[in-house]
Amino acid sequence: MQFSLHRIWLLTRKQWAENQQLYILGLLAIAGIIAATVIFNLIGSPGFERRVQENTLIIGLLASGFVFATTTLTQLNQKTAGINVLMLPASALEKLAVAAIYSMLVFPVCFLVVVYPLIVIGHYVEHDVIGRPNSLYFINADEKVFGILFTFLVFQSTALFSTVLFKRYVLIKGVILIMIIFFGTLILNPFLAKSIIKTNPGTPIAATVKETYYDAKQNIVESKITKESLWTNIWSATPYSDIQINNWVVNKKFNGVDYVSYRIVITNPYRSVFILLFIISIPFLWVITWFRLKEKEL
Amino acid sequence: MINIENLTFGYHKKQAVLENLDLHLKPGHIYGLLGRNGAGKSSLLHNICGLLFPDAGTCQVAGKNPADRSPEFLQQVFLLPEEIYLPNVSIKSYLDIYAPFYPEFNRDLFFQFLTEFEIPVENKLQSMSYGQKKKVMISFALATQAKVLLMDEPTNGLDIPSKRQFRKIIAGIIKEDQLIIISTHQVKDLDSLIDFVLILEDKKIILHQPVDHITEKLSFKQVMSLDEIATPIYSEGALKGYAVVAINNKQEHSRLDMEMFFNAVLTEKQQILSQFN
Repeated sequence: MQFSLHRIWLLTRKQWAENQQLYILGLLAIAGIIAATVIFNLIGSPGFERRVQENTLIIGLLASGFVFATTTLTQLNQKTAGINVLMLPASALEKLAVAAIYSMLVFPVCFLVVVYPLIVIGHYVEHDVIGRPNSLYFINADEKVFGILFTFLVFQSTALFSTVLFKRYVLIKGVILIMIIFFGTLILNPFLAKSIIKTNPGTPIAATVKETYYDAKQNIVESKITKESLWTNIWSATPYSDIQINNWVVNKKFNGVDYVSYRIVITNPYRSVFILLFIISIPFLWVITWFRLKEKEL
Repeated sequence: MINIENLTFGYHKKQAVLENLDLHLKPGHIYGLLGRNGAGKSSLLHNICGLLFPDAGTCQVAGKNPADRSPEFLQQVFLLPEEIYLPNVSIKSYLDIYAPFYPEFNRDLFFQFLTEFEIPVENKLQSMSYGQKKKVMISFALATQAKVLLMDEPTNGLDIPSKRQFRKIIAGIIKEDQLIIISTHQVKDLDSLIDFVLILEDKKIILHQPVDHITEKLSFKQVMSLDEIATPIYSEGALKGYAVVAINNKQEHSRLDMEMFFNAVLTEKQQILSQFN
């Protein structure tokens, strides 16, 4: 594995020098599409509200980023240009690193620099000119932003992988690949959920239960651990949320008093598996892209 | 410098283009690689530079495995393909972008070759003719001072004065630690340049001989009648009589006619090859 920062710099410079015209025109085109989207929302109902701003920014970033990423190594799919890329004295890792730098760092920064001001202007027009009181979308460093960041990285990594996997129609096949992964996860989810936890077995299951009794003032009357026979039902189990198994309305008599429990939910940290797979898929895609690039023949 | 042993390569598993091919090339020479269309010349060059990987056998170039495509290897081996790719930048920008990848790159030499080829330096590459682009790439390839220079049909697209210029430049530039392989159909363009002939036929290198040795064994003559030659191997009708390849029994000196020789090898293979075994 060979890695030289000097060669990375040379490759970065080369990528910019050869494509600057295309990149500048591309950014102008993106700005035009986003501006049209903003205007379309401003004249319509419910207006350019925060959720619309967020969708415009995130969907725009994911879609245009994916298209951009499929172009960074696309020369490999043309014989003459591909020879030029493969014969350039730099390692496959360095060539991939530069493609990753452009698609995962340079592009999103340029996109935000061009597009976010349009969102701000749209919000200003909405709020101060039209007079519809909407708040401005702002990227906070919360859990949601990390979700967006990882989704973006998965999209870009899949796009790079598509350029070395497919010889023709890279963009279309890349989108199909994303669809297959997305719907594949949804289809596989029930089987995965059932393999992780036994649900709806048809008969009650024996479980160790911690029972806590409260009086009307929410004071604890009694707390004990007991064996119970319970029915289990999945209440929620989608790939990126937790499995929730519930029991509704359990009646108990304690010291001659009737007690009723309402929704009792046990949460299984099911989504951790998916989030982990999602994050692991990023370096995994990089590694297989690197191997494909190393083994590319023309 | 190039050691290939039992190399087998094919684009499809059951269809080998090269089979059990052996080739050992030394630095300091210009090798002419000749073969029919589809014989596998480009495939062989691409195996040597690491664009294609052998299915079996070994290939070592400058002590390295080409398939690794390490930066050090790629700095030493330059391929000038038949169809060239050039970005839409000026010659000066191209130089600024690509030359730093080659530690031995000689800018003065590059500009000297461009001057010899009469290429204006200010030109944008995309606005040039095919022949001009080719001349820029030939100049760049030579200026890298790569140890192994592989040229696939380098004179395609060059006008007649440029072909002469090309021969002159190549003949003057090769150093003792360099090796040049020129794959071509246009053998007449290069027969004064090449000092070793390689003929690729039947998926193998069937002939690997220095030009001196070929002219020592065979004579190339123009005769009015075939009766004038005692041991002709191959002849072609010419404007005035015949062009003949014959066994050089009298140790006469003649100039190698590469095209005649190639045709002779293909049509009278056994007879010609037996002269060198």
